Amino acid sequence: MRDEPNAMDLLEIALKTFNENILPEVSPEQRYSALMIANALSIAARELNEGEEQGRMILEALQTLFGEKEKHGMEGIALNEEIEDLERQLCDDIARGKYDTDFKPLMTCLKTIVHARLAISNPKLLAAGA
Amino acid sequence: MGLINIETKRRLETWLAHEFSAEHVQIKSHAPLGGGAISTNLAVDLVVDGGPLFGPQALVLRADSTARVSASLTKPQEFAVLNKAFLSGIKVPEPLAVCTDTELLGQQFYVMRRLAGESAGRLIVKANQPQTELAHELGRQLGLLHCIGPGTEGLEFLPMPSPTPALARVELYRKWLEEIAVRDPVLAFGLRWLEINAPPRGEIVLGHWDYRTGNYLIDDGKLLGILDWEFAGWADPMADVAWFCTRSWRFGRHDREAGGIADRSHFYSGYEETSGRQVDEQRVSYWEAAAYVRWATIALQQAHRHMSGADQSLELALTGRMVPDIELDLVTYLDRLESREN
Repeated sequence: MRDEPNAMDLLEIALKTFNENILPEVSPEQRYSALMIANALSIAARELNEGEEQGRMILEALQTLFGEKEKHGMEGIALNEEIEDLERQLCDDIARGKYDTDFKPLMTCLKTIVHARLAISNPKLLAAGA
Repeated sequence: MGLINIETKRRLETWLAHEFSAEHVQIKSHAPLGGGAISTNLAVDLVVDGGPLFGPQALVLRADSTARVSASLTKPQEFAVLNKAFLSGIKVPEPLAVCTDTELLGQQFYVMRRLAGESAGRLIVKANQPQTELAHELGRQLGLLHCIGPGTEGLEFLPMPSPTPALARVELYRKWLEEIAVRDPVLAFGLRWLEINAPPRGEIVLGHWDYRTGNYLIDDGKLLGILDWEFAGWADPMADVAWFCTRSWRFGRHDREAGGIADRSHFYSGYEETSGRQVDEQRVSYWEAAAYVRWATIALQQAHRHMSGADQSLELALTGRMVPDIELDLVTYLDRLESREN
């Protein structure tokens, strides 16, 4: 059996407590460290929560670029391995000059990949319309 | 245990007294200075008895941190570059003495005068009005630096980029990134773009390689000194010009493209005044793209310092998670450059 609350629940309540009870009380000297802790916890929470969904977006972008049939329903380690394989393939193609003359489709794919990773690491940047 | 402790303090005092031709030096206080991700910086207050530095002195002691970023100079090399800049009349903290003996503090180090003033980028860009004079002055100082060329005595240790400054950099970043370059398609594309668009060899000058807001000190809006010389090396002059103007170092003030403080024109005009050369916009564009690849590469190296256990820190760990931010800037920038050309 799995104990409850789970990792996600614990992270969320730890972050909430930290932001509400600790952050307002920290000294100016400790504020930078405190903000970094809050940021790290937020990233971890988003990765647990949305990591799979963002992973599937990345996979879909790669499959579209490669003209591959989409494989649905991948998750966990299999999903990550599939992304890693396709990204290595793409790096190889790029280095060999496959997209030197027309990189519009590549650009679309790369933007999706960066956006998906930003949704975990720094969603504020996406919200700012960058 | 810090660099200066019960064991090393007396040794350091004796060494300083010798270097300063003083009878006696007493360390009154010492404290770490922030902002040294790569070097260890200590503020050290002394009382010097005798010699030309007689009296109280405020110094910075700068030593290698435990894990050096592969690009950076050793502290004696950095001292040599700083000294050359100082003797060329560039605004820098005056370098005073260098120690190559690692027995003394466990690391090589040097000492320089401590300048008062503000260096935090996020505070400097807060000014209500654009800081046009500051941008102009920063351009002038960079222009002075770029009057120093290969063949300068005392800088023989700096490697000459080959076959061209641009291609030497592409190769260097590939080497640093190692296997990341073959699994991160955004960086792979950045490197490929830099390779096929590399400008031919032009002039080569002494570059600072980290000339940006956050690495200079100001007081009341006036420039006091340029800091952080650990990446200096021979360069295409437009590389420093571009680095100063990238999005990464505007601290959110994207309406002020020159370092978040003013329009580019003020920075460029100062540069042209002292360097005697025109800013080459096309080369600046190339080096701006190169800047994003470089910054992403450095961020990954920083994260690796944490991940490898060499230098565990939350700040370094989070720097790794800044890579997508930098890659967004890179992709957006390349997209814009290419749309303009086609």
